Order: sequence, then structure tokens, then C-alpha cells
Amino acid sequence: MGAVFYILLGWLLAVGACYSFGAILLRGTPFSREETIPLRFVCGAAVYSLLTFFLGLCHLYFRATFVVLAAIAIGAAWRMGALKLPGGRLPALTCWQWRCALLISGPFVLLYLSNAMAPEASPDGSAYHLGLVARYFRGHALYPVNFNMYAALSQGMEMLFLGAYAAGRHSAAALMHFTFLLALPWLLLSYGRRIGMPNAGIGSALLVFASPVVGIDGISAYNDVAAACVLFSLYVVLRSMEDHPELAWVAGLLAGFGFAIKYTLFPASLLTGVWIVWRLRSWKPLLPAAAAALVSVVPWLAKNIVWWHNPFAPFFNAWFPNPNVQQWFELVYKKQMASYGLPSYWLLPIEATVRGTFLNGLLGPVFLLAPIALLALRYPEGRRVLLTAAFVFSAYPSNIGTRFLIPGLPFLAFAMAMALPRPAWLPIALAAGHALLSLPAVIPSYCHPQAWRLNKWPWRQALRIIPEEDFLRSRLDSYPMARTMEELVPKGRRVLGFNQVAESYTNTEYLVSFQSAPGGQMREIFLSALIKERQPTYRVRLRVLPTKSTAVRAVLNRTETGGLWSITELRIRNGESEIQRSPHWRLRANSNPFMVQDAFDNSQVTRWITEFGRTAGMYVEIDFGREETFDVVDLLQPNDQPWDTYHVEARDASGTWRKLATKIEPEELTSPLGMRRAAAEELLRRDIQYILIGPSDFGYDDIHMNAKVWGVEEVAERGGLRLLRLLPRDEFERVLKQ
Amino acid sequence: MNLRAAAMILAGLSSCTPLPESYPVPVQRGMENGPEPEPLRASISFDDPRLKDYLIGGFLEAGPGQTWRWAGEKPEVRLRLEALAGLRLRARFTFPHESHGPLMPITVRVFVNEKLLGAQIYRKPGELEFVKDAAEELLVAGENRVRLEADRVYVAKADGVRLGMILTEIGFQARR
Repeated sequence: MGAVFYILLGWLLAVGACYSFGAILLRGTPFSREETIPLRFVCGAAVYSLLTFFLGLCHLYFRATFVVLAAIAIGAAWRMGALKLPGGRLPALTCWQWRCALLISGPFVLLYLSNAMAPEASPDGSAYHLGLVARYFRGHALYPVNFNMYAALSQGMEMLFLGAYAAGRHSAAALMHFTFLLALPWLLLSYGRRIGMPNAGIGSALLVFASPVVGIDGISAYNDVAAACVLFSLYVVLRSMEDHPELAWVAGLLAGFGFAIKYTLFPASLLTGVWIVWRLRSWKPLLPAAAAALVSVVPWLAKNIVWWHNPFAPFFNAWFPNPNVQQWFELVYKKQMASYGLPSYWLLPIEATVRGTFLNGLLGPVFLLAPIALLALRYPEGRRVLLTAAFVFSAYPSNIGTRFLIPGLPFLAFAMAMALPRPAWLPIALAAGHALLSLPAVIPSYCHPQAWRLNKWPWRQALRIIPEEDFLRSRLDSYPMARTMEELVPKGRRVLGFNQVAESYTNTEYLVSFQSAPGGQMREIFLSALIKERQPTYRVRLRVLPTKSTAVRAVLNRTETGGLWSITELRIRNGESEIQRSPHWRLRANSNPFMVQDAFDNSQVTRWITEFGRTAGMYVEIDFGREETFDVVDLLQPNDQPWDTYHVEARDASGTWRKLATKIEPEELTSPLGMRRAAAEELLRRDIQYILIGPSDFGYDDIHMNAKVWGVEEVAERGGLRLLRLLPRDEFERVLKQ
Repeated sequence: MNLRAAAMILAGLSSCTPLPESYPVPVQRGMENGPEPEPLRASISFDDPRLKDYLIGGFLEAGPGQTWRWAGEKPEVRLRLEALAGLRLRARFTFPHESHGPLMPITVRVFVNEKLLGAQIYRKPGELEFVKDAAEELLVAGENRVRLEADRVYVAKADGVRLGMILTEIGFQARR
């Protein structure tokens, strides 16, 4: 039971700190007693998250730090009398309404609590949300993790996880998110009471709370339910602000916190600005609102500027080219997120509400009735709610996963419940039907078997009667390998993998190839050993008249759609002999200059690849640092590259670039030999000592069958995943001779 | 308005953390040829550890250490030839009594590089062989694709899987 104690301690300390900060902040604000409680938690969470960010910059991530922080917050709030609840009350609910709300929500509270307390086994939570948290906590600091693009996203929620994780590890962090899951329906219920539509409040609270995707997301170390809760809190504050303009800073704080939790909540900031101008008819309150928002927003942007060379990393890489995330990757990633492999967008409603296959989760079949929400347009409140929903959902097309609907769901649910005012029990009946359909025993009758949802009440696991280890081994495919890496990979060694694993359960430095440009480069190196189309089997000789110059460029002439321009090796010749590469040389490229050295490293497994596409005018440049005479520029390339459309430019004494008459002589070459070992050596050179490869990864069979040729040694195999050690040169030569 | 200004300031600030404008020549890697995997051979026994490299398709998955494979209707393998003259194809396979006994006779046709090499009718189940001389014009130096087709297959009652035959060896060998 020791583990349970620490889980609860970590959770309660973090929640207590958030609530206390919120209580101090919201002293003297005009909210009712009922609304104050969740609002204190949410606003305080914004402060706590920000403080954790700065504690990380000061290298202060220790368990004691968070205990002291919580003690200070709670103590200060108590000393200031801020914990006292305000006297103002909302209109009371009838006994019947209370009974309905508690009876329907009760089973879900228990379901969610048991799952939140059980060991964290969500795919993204165990991989990168808590993977990064664990990494920061291990390092006692917030520091750049440039090989994981998720570390570039705003991490307001991860900062909250950190506080809870410090004492209670994974489950305490999940419980932190669970707290938002409790606060959200409370806010909806309270708001319904405030505007005189208690049944709409109860109905919408239950519609959201019982939704299968909201449930599983809210009990995991994710951030979508927290985002929804912050947004609805913002809405409550914006509505209060119409009578109390002095609340503008609270609205700004929540808008900024929304962005800090999730980039896709950026429209909330716009909404706040629009709302203030629209409802208050004044620009004045914009100032405190913007200032408060920027307090939460700026740290994340500034962190990205300094560590990622892009304030909006991992997006907008075309505006801010950087060595960490490539533009083409961003486009591919965005395209995937906008489609999820869904065969047709017409399937989206049924997928998001009933099936849950492609979009990872389901809202529940009742949300097929979402169009009735439009009936709420007949009320001024309905129009406001739907306008807000439109703002929030405007970011949805960028990622159509079901859980990305969660931030807008409270508004949609509220509008749906409002649309059914008569008879009074109708919204609650609708929610009751929804709750029934959302019970773990009922969901399998209509959803896809693989849909992401809760299917058990794991009390024994939550209370650690069944050991955490057993539960995780049965639920997380990659967990056994994560633990094996922990045992077998020495500290300081790095593992390259091609898929996410449960990183939060290992201290090993694990790089996922698709999570950064350097990771992608290393995957290219691995694949170049196996795929002929990635090997340099073409030489394009660009012949010019003997020219004396201090710099030369190989320039692409033609724009082509599809594919990237790449050069494995670029060589300069004068007559029969190659001009030897010199320390005086400086290399440049006008697309992806960060990789240009890969075309000059005398390796057949590395390539310079453009940032995006093949465009006329793209070039690679050598500044010789002194005058050189040359008559040939050789491009060694894979055979899928253009072979007929280049020219050479030379820089004259005045610094002007002159186009030289260029004769192109393409020549096919035989495939180079020994690419497997060359790739292994290049990975070693890039500080990779291990490879983790699974059956679905390209090359899985080859590296297993030809381990000796690659120069790898299988260290472990767990659930099909193989951990391979790259043998250093001397060891490889010894093995080869045996 | 404020956000716009903030975005512009941030954009400006990002240029304050400069990335290198140009790069030096990196450390030169050695280009000596490393080892290559042994090329595929002209025949393959199904207990060979490199079996997977030979299989193109039409086989069921095998358990660890299994020395044979269930084939579906049209199993296909790749075999590598250096010399083409004087070769015959030999395949060793089994039609199990329980499953294929009631299906007999079964005709097996063998294709090499999409051209028919020959067909044979098998009237009794058990361990069997297909042997046929391969004309040089059917073969190519390098990779050759060999496909077996059984006209009748056993359909497993439990899961509907179609089972053609159990293969244990296939390959080209010198004519005797």
C-alpha cells in the first residue's frame, strides 16, 4: 500500500497547490461558491504550471521542491484567508435533479478513479507525455530534448504532471488529469444553474462526463480534457466579465494557459479578444487580458526560440528553418493528422461517435444527434455557446482524431442540452441514455473491437493488490522491452528505434527516428543499406570549361513535384584529378543547409536532402577559401534523382555569380558494396550504440539474418522487438574473422 | 493587434539565435567495401536459417525451429542461379493423409519465371517429389522465381485457411 500512499500524496499535493494558488488569485472575485471551487483549481493550475516551468530552468526538479511549493501555497492561502468559500450561491437544484446527476455519474466516477489510479498504460502518456516528464525529473531540470519534437510543443500540462510525478510517479500524474475530468462537468452543471437552465447543465455535464473518449483520455496522462476544462472555465469567466470587466486578466490567464496546454487552443486567445471587444465595446480590458495571456504564452515561445530556433516548433518550419524538424516531415505529419487513414470524410461522424476505429476513440452514439444543437440558436445563450464551439472546432481539421473534439465538446453538449428544454427532463433522459450506452459492458456491442476505450474496473490494480509490473506487461506491448533496455543498456548509451515505446518506464536514452530531423537522417542511413533507390547508383558529371574561381555552385534547373533533391557525394575535379577537400572550404545550401555536410563526408550511406521538394534554383555551394581551377562537378546520387537539368555557377572576383555553360554527362554505377556495415559505423559515429527494431519495421529480417555483416549482436528479444548492439570496429573485425 | 505584435517580435527574436551560415568539410569516412551477405543459392531447404530471404509469398507463418512450411494455393520462392545449363528442378513436399487424402488426385503445376515448367498428377498422399529438367531458355542468371500451383487445396474447417501442401525443400540441381 506504500505505492498507493505516494500516488495519493503526489496527486493531493499538486491539486492542493493548484487550488491554493487559485484561491489566492481569485480572492474578491464575484463568482458563486459553486463556480469558485473548480475555477480556483483551474486558474491555480495555470500558476502552478508556470512556476514549474521556471523551477525547471533553475534546475530545481526535486521531490522536496514540490512538497515545499505545495506547503507554501496551501500555507499562504490559509494565512490570507483565501481558502474561505464565498457566500454567493447559485439557484439550488431540486432533490430529483441531484439524485439524477449523482446516480448517473456515480458509476463513472468509480470507473474513472480506478482506471486513473491503475498503472499508466496509455500509448502517448507512457511514451512521450510522461516520457518527457520522467526525463526532466531525472535531469532535475527543464532542458532541450531536440530529438523529440513533442518536447517542442507547449507543455503546460506536463508541468502539472511533473509536480504530481515527483511524489507519486505515473498514476499521480494521471490523477492530475482526472481532476480536470471532475472539474469540467462541475463547471457545466454550475453554469446551467447560473443561467437558469439547470437541466441543460446536468444534461451537458453527463453527456461530456460519460463520453467514452473523454473518460479514457481524462484518466490518462494526456491533456485534452484539461484543455476542455480550461476552455469552459474561460467561457464562464468571459460571461462573468460582461458584468465585471475587471475580470479581464482572469480571462487572459486562462486563454494563455489554454495555449500552454495545447497549441490547438490558440483560437481561445482570439476568442477572448473578440469577446472583450464585442461584449464590452471597449479596447481597454484587452490590455490586462493580453498581458495575463502572454505571461503563460511567452515562456513557451521563448524556450522554442532559444532551443529549437523556431518559436512555433515543431510547426512553421518553412518560416523558421531549423536543424531539428524538417519542412517535408511537417507536411507529411500534418497530412497524416488531417486524415488518419480515414477512407472518406463522410465516415467521420460514424467513426467519431460509434465505431472509433480510425480516429482512436468514440464520443458515443448520442452525439450523432449533434445537429440538434443548432436549435439552441434561438436563445442568446445558445448563440454564444455555439459561436464559442465554432472557434474551438476551427482547429479540428488540423488533427481529426476523436480526442481533438474534446475541447469543443462541452459547448456542443451544452447547446444540445439547451436545444431540448421541454419537457424539462428530456436533456437528463438523453444523458441517461448516453451513459447507459457508454458503460464498458455495453460499448463493445456497437464499437470496433480495437476502439480506444475503457473496458475494465481495475480496482485491484489501482490498489496495487495486483503488482504494477504484471498489469503493465499485460497492457503495454513495449513495456517488457523498456524494462529490458533499462537492465541491459549501459548509462550514457543511446538506442535508435523506429517506433514509440513506453519511454516513461526506462531511463535509457531512446531516440524515435520519426520524432526529429536527426532521427530521420539516421533512419535514412539505416535504409540506404537496404534499399537500392537510396544508394548512389548514378553519377551526373557537370562539365564546364576550365574555370578559376573562389566558389562554385551546383544548381538545379527544373522544378518538379514530388520527391526531394538529394546528393550522396559532391566532388570537384580539375582534369583527371579530384580537388581534395580542404579545411579552408565552407559549405552551403539554400535548402536544408544543416545537412549539407552529408554530401561531403565521403560516405555512401549519408545524403544531403532538400528541406522540401525539388525547385529550380536550389543549390549546393562550396566556398574554396582561395582560388581553385576546376572543370568538373560530379554529383553522386540515387537513381531517382534528375540527371538532365543542372548547371554550374562560379563566383567571380567581384563576388557576382556567373552561370557557366554546362555539359551534363550521366553515368550509371553499380550498387556499392558493404553498405550494411557502413550504415552501422555511421550510426556509431552519430553516438548510437543500439538499435531497437520490431517486426513491422523495414529491415527487421535482414538485420537478423545478416547480423554478422551488419556487425550487430542481438542483446534481447521481447514480444518480437529485438534490441541489437552495434559492434565497434575492432570487435566487428574480430567477429568477422571467426 | 497585440498578438500580431508579439508574433512579429518573436519572429525577430528568433533571428537573434543564429545558426551557422556555412559549414566546414566534415571528417572523411572510409569508403572501403565492407562485407556483403552471402548471395542466395540455387536451392533451399526449409530448415535453413535464411529461409525468409527465399520466400516471395504464399506461405503460412512458421513457429520457431519449424523445418517445414504450410503453403497456400500458389507458393512462390526465389532462387539464384549462376550457370543455367544442365539443371533440373526438384521440389519435396507432403500431402498429409488426413487433410489431402480425400482430395486426391491432385495436379501440381510448376512455373519458372512465369512460364510453365511442367505438371504432374499425384494420386496418393504422403511424402512426394516433383522433378523436372529445366530448359535453359526458362532460366535467367541471377534471381529466378519458382511457383507451385495445386489444383485442389484443403480448406481448414476451423478458420477457412486454404492449405496447398507442406514444403520441405525446393531448388535447382545438376541433372544426373
